[in-house]
Amino acid sequence: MADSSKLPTELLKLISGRLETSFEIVNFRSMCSSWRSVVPDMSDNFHQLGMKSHIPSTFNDDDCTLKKIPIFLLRFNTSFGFDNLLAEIRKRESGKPMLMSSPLSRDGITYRRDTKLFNSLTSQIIPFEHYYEVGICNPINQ
Amino acid sequence: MSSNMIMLKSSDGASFEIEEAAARKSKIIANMIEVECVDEDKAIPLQNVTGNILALVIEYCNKHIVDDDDDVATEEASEEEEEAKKKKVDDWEAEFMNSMSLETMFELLLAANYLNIKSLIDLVCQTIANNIKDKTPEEVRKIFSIENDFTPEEEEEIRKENAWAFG
Repeated sequence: MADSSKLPTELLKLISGRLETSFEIVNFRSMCSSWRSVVPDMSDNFHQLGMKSHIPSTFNDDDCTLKKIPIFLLRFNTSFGFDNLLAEIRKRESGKPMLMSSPLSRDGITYRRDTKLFNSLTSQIIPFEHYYEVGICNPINQ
Repeated sequence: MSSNMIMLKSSDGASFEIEEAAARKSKIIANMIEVECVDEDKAIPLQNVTGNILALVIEYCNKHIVDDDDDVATEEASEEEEEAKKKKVDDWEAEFMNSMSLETMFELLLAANYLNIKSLIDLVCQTIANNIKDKTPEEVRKIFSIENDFTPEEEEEIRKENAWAFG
């Protein structure tokens, strides 16, 4: 039987290079020590990973910004059975857990102080589509 | 076709005949042909590849050698034709990868790496990444028979890494 934990490091690196979201990266790092060792800790050097769309990416123009925000469907077990939740990933402050919020309650009005901790090890995370946010910064610049 | 044929021999002794042009997809074999260490009557022994995996590699190489020929012949093909052709290859690759188990994928990846076939390595890596995308680590470990070898300290670290604040 093929023992995939014995895959050469360079091949594990190639596979991990195909991962797209931070969920996938965290998951990949949770498999075993050899898998963990090929993907750098994402807590501090997010931007050095060269991975796509695990946090909102922003395209800058002089006048406007276009933010591409990935959405996920989280499926997790509760004492009443499985439940689903739509979520998007927000930037995290250093030392804090990764932050998610619902794309359906983004006006700041419904922001809750009682943040819940959610464990991605025991949940199924399905990447959904992205949505775009347009921001107009300097309409009459120059 | 008048292309040269060469013989490949798997680790378990199975022999395969393959067009030289297709075999050149493998950098290792291409190099062997360059330095003329390929004897036409003798099979090239591949110690790290079993027959069933070598058959898949050859299937892939044969498919893609045809595509490469087409590219040269129809340089002026319209964009639509190009797109249709690319879709055909994509569809073939999807079906090809779909037909095998994850265990086979790993062996195919090792073989592609050993034979140095870049496009096949890319294809298998992408497929494996797609396969682990929406699964929990426990599920992935089971599928790939990976042993969880973390120390309690590392487990704690992982638990923290997997905690997401939902607000």
